[in-house]
Amino acid sequence: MIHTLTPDLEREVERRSGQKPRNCYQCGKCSTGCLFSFAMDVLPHQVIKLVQYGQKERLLSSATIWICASCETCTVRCPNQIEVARVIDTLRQMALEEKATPAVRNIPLFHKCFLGNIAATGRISEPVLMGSYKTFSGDLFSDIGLALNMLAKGKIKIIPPVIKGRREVRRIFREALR
Amino acid sequence: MRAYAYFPGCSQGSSAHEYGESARAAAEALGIELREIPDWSCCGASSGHMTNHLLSVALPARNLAIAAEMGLDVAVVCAACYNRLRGAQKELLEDEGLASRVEEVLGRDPRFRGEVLHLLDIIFRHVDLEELKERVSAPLKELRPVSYYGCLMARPRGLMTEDNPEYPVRMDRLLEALGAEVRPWSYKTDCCGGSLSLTRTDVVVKLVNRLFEAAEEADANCIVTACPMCLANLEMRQSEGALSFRVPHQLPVFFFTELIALALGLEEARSWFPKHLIDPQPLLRGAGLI
Amino acid sequence: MSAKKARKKDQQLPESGSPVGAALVVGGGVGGIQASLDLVSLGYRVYLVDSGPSIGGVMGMLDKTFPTNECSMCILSPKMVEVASNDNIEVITLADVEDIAGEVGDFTVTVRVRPRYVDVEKCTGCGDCTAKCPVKVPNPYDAGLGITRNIRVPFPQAVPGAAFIDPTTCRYFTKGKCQNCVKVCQAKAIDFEQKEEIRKLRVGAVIMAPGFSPFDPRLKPEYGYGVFPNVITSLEFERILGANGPTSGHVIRPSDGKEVRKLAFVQCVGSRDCLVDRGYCSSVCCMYATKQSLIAKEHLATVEPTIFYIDLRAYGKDFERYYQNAASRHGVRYVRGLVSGIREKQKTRNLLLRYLDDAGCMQEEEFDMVVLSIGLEPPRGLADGLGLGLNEHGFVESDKFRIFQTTREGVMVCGAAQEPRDIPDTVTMASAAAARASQIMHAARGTLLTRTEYPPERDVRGEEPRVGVIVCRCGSNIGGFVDVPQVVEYARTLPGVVWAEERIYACSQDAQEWIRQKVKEHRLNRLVVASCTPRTHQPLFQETLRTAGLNKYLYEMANIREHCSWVHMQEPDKATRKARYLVRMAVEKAGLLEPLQEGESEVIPRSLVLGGGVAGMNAALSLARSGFPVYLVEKEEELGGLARNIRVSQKGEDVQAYLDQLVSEVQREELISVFLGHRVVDIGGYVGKFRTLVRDREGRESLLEHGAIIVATGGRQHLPEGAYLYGKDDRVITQWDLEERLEAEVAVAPRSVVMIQCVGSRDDRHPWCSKVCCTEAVKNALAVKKRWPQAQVFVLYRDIRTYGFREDLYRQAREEGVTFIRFADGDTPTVNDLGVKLQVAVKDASLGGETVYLDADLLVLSVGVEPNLDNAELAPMLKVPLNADGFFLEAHMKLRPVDFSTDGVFLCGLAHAPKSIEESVAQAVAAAARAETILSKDRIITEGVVAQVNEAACSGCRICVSLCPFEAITFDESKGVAQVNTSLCKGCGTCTAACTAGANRIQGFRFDQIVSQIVAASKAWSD
Repeated sequence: MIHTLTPDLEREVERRSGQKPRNCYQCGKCSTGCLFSFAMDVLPHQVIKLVQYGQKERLLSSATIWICASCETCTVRCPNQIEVARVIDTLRQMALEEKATPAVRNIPLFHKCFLGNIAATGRISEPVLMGSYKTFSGDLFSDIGLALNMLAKGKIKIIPPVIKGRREVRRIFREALR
Repeated sequence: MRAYAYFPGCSQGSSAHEYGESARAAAEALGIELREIPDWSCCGASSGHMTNHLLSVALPARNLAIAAEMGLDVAVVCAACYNRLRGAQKELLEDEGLASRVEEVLGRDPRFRGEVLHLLDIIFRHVDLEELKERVSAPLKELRPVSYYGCLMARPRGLMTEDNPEYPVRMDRLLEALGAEVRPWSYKTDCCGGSLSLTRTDVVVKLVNRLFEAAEEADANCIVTACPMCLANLEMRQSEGALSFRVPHQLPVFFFTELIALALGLEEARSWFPKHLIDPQPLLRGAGLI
Repeated sequence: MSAKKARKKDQQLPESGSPVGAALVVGGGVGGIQASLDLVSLGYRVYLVDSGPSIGGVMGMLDKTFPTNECSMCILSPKMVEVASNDNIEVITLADVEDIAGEVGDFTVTVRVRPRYVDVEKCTGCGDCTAKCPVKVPNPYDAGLGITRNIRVPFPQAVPGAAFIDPTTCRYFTKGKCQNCVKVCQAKAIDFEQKEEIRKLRVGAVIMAPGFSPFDPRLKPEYGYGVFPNVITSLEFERILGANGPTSGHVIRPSDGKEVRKLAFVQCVGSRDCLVDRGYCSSVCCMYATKQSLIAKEHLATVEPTIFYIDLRAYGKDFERYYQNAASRHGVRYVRGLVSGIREKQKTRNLLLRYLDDAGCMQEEEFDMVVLSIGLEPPRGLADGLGLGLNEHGFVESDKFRIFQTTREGVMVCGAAQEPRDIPDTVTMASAAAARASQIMHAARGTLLTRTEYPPERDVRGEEPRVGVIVCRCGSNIGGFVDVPQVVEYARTLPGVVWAEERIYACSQDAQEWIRQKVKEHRLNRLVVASCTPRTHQPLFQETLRTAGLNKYLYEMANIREHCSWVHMQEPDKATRKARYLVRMAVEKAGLLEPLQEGESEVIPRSLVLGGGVAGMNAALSLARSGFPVYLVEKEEELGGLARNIRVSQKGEDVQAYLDQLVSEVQREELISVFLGHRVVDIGGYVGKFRTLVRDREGRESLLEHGAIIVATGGRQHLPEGAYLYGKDDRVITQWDLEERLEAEVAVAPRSVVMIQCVGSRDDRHPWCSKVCCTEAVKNALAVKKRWPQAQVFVLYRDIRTYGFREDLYRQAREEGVTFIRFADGDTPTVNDLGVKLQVAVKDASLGGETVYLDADLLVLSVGVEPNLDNAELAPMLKVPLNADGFFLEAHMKLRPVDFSTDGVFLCGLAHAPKSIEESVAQAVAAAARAETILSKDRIITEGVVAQVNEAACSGCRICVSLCPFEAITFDESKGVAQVNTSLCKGCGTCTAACTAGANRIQGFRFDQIVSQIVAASKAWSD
């Protein structure tokens, strides 16, 4: 049930992303083309509708904003030229800023580990990334078999690469996360 | 030799090692020099793009700024890096306010006025397919690949590769020139699941199996791709599970550069195949290619 | 002298200052054809130019038309034949208009005519050349499916029915050798020396009817057109469904020729799509997809069609019923939600489509074939150098109220070139354009028409029948299968035959001269031609007979081609035997033929217009400006009708200013006599001679005499007593009320306005769509936003039917922040009075039916249009029918949208069906044109083949009176017998067949004539 409608969320999304969810005429192409829709609780065309309604809480706490992989299939097909993936990106960024409780916890966690790795050394090291993510998510064993396989084939470089310009990279992070 | 500022991308360091090696070898054989961007850093890939706008632009921008100092166009081999670098370039050239802010943070000018191209595009620019055919010493006759471009190479429309965004054909043409019997299929740009590989493996498994089923339905015996993340997902994620070694779909997955090297008779190609998680050697042996 | 030769003579120059009495029609589709026929009926010479080798346009390529599912070519080709046989219409094909110089009334148009390489006068369309042509080309008439040869007649019913050569692929032109066609052409019609010609035509008015181009779906690569063989366009599918198409109507698919079971339609391909710069709606695709689904099922009952759509735009007359029946009774599945991208299975070439089902779950389904419902684009090369304004979408820009008027005075437009539209609207616009042209040229009416001078008719009464028989070979079409000499020999033995000969092409120009000679030489008084179909050739031979000095009804035709040689190709012996008895039948009847006289009836050159609204006033003005007096009868005390309630039109124009202007023009016009406050009491008479009695409130009566009637009695607004608290709460209003409030002073601006669509439309009691309400709502929503920018506006709808360029208004409304919420059919919103505000609860179908509560300061109901309550009383007086919904029923839904079956009565405006103001204007002016075709004649010539009642035998049962579809039979009370009005009788034979007393007979098809044919056939078979 939706009781109160407010234009605030749409204005915010438009300001940040330049996209206009109000232009949507609910053709459904974004949703029928979305390969990840089976794992979403709110479908892309519904996301656009709910932004128009101002249902911020609902959207920021949805699984959809984390499941979306930005494959941009929706963006490229929208007849009203709405970059749907970008609207979802914006909602996700807002969720992180407002520290909303994510519906799918391990995805933002993964992003944090990924970005933490870059901030530390400048490049991704798969063992470092795997290690930190698995530790923090508590999901230690799901890819053991895979890890062993890769180790055996020499696909894992244990020693992480570290670049000279680490400081520059850290500066970028400091500025971005202010 | 045409020289390009080469952005390898983080996966070259480990799981996509063969890709990096084969890219270099193939490029060299085709007269393209890949000069690594010194001290390059991660482009941020999906994680940057999805969580913070400034990160998504500034991380790639650093590399573009260094490449600008080299005075060369940029070559990438990873579709995700390709998407991020081009995306950032466009935004910085169009939004002056953003460009100034990033310049301040980086201490370098992030406005890159050269071109950022995927190796596939570069090959198409510089190599005449008819001539390439002449140079092939080991035609890939018994290989029946489907070309898998992945979602990031083709989208957004207008920004990415000049090929048809829904139905690209460059890789197909290249493989045909190398003698392969390319199988047509319509899943060329369907996402493999991308960065959800670790976090929502179930989603990736579903999408990966969908791709394998379609490839088999198309009567293919291998899949060729141009993105290391796609290859990793395809090889690793047919099923979830702690100790799963065996996979239902035994289609090997190649990087297109591996096949270029193989067809051109480069010896080092042999060293890459044992590293694949789905062993391509039986297929290649059967085809008389190794 | 042949009338055809008269055509190319230099035109006579009119006196300076007066207009040229000829018109140019650019484009030979159904719009151009209608305009040409109307213009020539109105007394003007016509040049009909088409860039292709034949007229017919896209309508000629369709299999069936909605919403009646009639065969397209069957209703179009009679009009094409009319054009062909009319000496005052010159058809110029393979031609392009390059420049229009001059001004209204006197234009000089430069036309570049490409060479056909075939002499149209000599070519008989026999097809021998096509059979021998070595060059194979994809057939453009079959939308590229199917292969044909370079030299060909474009399609069987082509006009001109002659072959043409495409020089770009012809072997002789490209490689220098061949000319197979020349070798086999027995009519010696091929001429490789023909050159391009530049013609300068002097005309008083120009009507543009160039049609549209289909959208190229390669611009939407996600659908795989051009890559997946089983993804085709709607035009290609139309050809597959066509009986004369590449698959002979079998519903099979391109990749393997398998029958199609699961068929999908994807709507809005190249329409409503800003991504490909085609933001407008193409108006017809929802309906044509429904039609194609129904027809596919008719051809093959196992077909399972599914239509994937955004909004189902079934807005026209009878469209909603057609759609609902398709869904509920004929197995057409409609799925809301557009398909995003199509995937293909490589082994079967089947297609995989994903969609959301009713429960909101994603489904993937396999289909055998997918049809892309492609949009309509402006025609190519439009208006370069023609001085015409184009709108933002590239279509011809027109006046806001008179959509048939371009930005250039004297140049009119009709059809899809101005805006995507369907056939009835195109035909209407074509007539309207002709009316406007007549206003310009009427001073020169008739001055450039060639009238054939006929020799006096020889009186053959009392003579013994002297029958001449011509057996035509038709090249090898007949001669290759039927033993023609044998048939000729047989004919010579038949009683009454004094002369029989064969001819290679009986229809050729030189053959007509030969026939005239033989008629004289052998003193023939009856003629039988054994050749092809009377549908195309009867008028030709009748004309020849007349120019030979004989009554044209002394002619009989035996079809030994379509009815014989073409269907019995494998059995030449039997074919010959059949040809003999067909000839005998014709000869028998010929002996019993009598000369028939065509009657004449006077015409009172005045019209009655019933109704003084927008439609009525426009009709009256149009006729008056062509020089005809009009009686305008209006039941209210003032003119204006329902438009008095509308402030602003859909195109943003000031409606009240327009109305005031119309009213003052009507009042100033001397030729219009206005009867305000008058109602119709009785209507008597028939076409040309009507008598109408009208009476005002005080009982004063007037008897009006006139030649034609235009019904423009309008409609009325539905008032939803009680529904949604209407009538109980003054915050619940209609759109008209809202228009008033937008002008008025308000104490407090509304903060929230909610509009509900389809109130009193698309329901059990009103099963039609009122067409204008979606656009009105959008228009008013924008007006609300403009006046009160802080207000929130919500529109609750089932389908948004903003067709054509109205889609731009819908997009604008969304951009301005109007929120549109869809509810499922049957899930109507509810209203609660919470005192300080109203609360509307709507189940948002996009969110799976989740209820959204909206506060409303104003609840605006988009109520529907209902028929005028007077219709039931007027219809029997006019002798015209009403349809099931209570609106007047026109003669033919596709090709005669403003005519009634009853001659002399015409229809326009809301009386016909709900429509917008500019559509009413176009229909009104069209009705005026049609009325003018009668009023401009001094007399009406009536058919010779009419019914006749033998009064002595008539029993007075009156069966014929009730059966006559043309209201042509009346009952004479004093004599107690039926009487046929030959002015109205069309000779259909219904009354004759029904008459139990045998008192009714059709001249030319008498009982004894028909029985003699049957007897002759059996005799001949046993001979």
